[in-house]
Amino acid sequence: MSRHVVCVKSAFLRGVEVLPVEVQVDLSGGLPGINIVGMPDVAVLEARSRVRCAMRAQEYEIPRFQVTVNLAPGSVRKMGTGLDLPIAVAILAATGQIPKEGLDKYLFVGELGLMGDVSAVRGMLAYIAFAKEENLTFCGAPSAKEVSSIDAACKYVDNISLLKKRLSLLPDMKRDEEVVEQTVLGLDYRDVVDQEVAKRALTIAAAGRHGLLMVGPPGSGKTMLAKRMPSILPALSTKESIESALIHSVAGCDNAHILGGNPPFASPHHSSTIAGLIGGGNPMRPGEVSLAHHGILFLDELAEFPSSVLQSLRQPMESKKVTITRVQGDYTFPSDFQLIAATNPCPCGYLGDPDHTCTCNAAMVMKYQNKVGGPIMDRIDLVVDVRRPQVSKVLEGQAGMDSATMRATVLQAREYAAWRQKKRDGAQKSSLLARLMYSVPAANVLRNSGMSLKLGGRSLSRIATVARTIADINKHVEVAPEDVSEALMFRSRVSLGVAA
Amino acid sequence: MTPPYFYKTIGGDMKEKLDFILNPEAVKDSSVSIFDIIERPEKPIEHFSAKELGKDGERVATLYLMRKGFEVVDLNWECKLGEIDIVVKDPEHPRSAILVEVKTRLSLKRTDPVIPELNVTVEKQEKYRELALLYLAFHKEYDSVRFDVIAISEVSQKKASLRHLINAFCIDGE
Repeated sequence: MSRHVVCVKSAFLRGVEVLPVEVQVDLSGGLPGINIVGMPDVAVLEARSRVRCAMRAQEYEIPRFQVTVNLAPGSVRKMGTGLDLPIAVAILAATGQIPKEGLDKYLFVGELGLMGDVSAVRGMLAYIAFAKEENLTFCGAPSAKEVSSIDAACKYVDNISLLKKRLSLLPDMKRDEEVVEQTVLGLDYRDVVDQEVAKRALTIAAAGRHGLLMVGPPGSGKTMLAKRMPSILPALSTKESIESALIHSVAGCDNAHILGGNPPFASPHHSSTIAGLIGGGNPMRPGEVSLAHHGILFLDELAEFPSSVLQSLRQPMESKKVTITRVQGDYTFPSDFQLIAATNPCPCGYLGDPDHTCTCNAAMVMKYQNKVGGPIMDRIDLVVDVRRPQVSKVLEGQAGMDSATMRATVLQAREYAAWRQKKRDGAQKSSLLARLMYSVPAANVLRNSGMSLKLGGRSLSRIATVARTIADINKHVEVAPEDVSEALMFRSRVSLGVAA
Repeated sequence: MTPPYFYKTIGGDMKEKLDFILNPEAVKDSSVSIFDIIERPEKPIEHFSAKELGKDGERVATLYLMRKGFEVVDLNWECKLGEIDIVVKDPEHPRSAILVEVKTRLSLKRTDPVIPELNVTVEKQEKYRELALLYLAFHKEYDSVRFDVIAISEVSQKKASLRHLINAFCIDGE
């Protein structure tokens, strides 16, 4: 019997990385059966049954030979069901049931159903991007949106019966030309009544991508405010949306709205584990901080998070990426997110509320506030008190700032900042205030408050940058004294027990 | 070189083995009942011993395969490891031997159906794997095998239901 070795290209995921695999199939005489070598895991071994059923369902002949499938390189453990399709293609080509020519120009990834139907697996976007990089045509069943966002060549194969014809004769996948406007997801700041100060703080945070903490009693609307944050953020650039959608694709989450330009919004519950927040598990999946890449990570009830979980956020916030080390090696996920947090001021929630008496003693308040911890607070630029809205205003409603107005402000501020930075023309200045373009009176205000309030160095530089963002909103080339005064209003409260 | 005793096979003349067919002309004539052209013990089937019932099933299966157009190559191919009931060849795939295991059960008055093929357990499949390798070693004219199972439930004296499981199982690696 002559040898028929057929090689088909495929890939598998390792973190958000895509690694190439070559599926080699050899037929030899003897007992009928399929043997998979090259460190397959259970899901890959189960491919045998799926491939056999799919082939039978689509009236292909099951080879009566010993089929040896090798997944090269053989030294890495292969996981997932995406290898079903390439294995089936390689077996069909080796047995001469589909044309063998030109198969090396394609990258096959897909899971097979028992009827031979091909379905998408997680990380489709990453595979398509990889195929484009390698100058291969992707072959599988991705969504049209994913293919058009990357603008890659793709043959849509949703059933292995399509392979009977030469692949090059299949039409290229149709592009999804429908342009999706940034959708506001039905949430608007118009619905939040009597919270104009908090809305201003959120506008500043959005304009300068500052971290923000909202402190207030229960029922004051902190969660409502945070949930509407995506509606005032500028749309993602194509590069950003692909980066973010790729992580969502790898995590197996829906990414259609991100590909439409909406920034992601992740709001993990406070019972989340470290692995859930920063990534982990087997197979390795990105955590919430990576799902919030180029978007917002909202931590509601910040003080309820275990402190170990909060501490794990420090490295991703600092380096804008998460590196997780396992025995098999390092996994790196991007995590450039903006932190929005909300908390009560004390366990009962009413500390500092003029209408309620706080029932907590000093030690309880201290313990509660210390849970958040200095290192996280250091990375929060703005702190805003959210008070309970007035009864009459809640019942009768009040026209406040709506999302469209706030978004326009944010967009203008970002545009202004970009223009200002270009104007500065890279003139290297050593001092912080010169770099941020402070006017002399503004610098004096900052200096005086720094001394009278005994502000620390880190806190001072935070106020300075926030004031710069406010100046951009107000379209001041040089930071004015009133910008600094406003920034001082949003500094962390001493009563929160946090090192100011 | 003679094979070691362990692997020694009991051959025999195929013509002799097919002696149980009483009327060779009627083999291809589907209007004649299979039970009328095979040799059977002269007693009611409920009095058949297990061995007699098994033999009866094998004969029915052989006739069935002949009528289906398969070429019977060997019957009761034996070695010390065990026995292959029937070996047939599909004229379309002359290089592939089809090893057939026949399972026969009596199903006279039972309400629940008898499923003889359930007796092809994983352990037995492992045995067939070894048998198949041996068979291939002795028969260079074949390069691959197929495992079929024929399940026969004998319902009355001249009535039986037969299921032919084509490619009943494969031998996958671990």
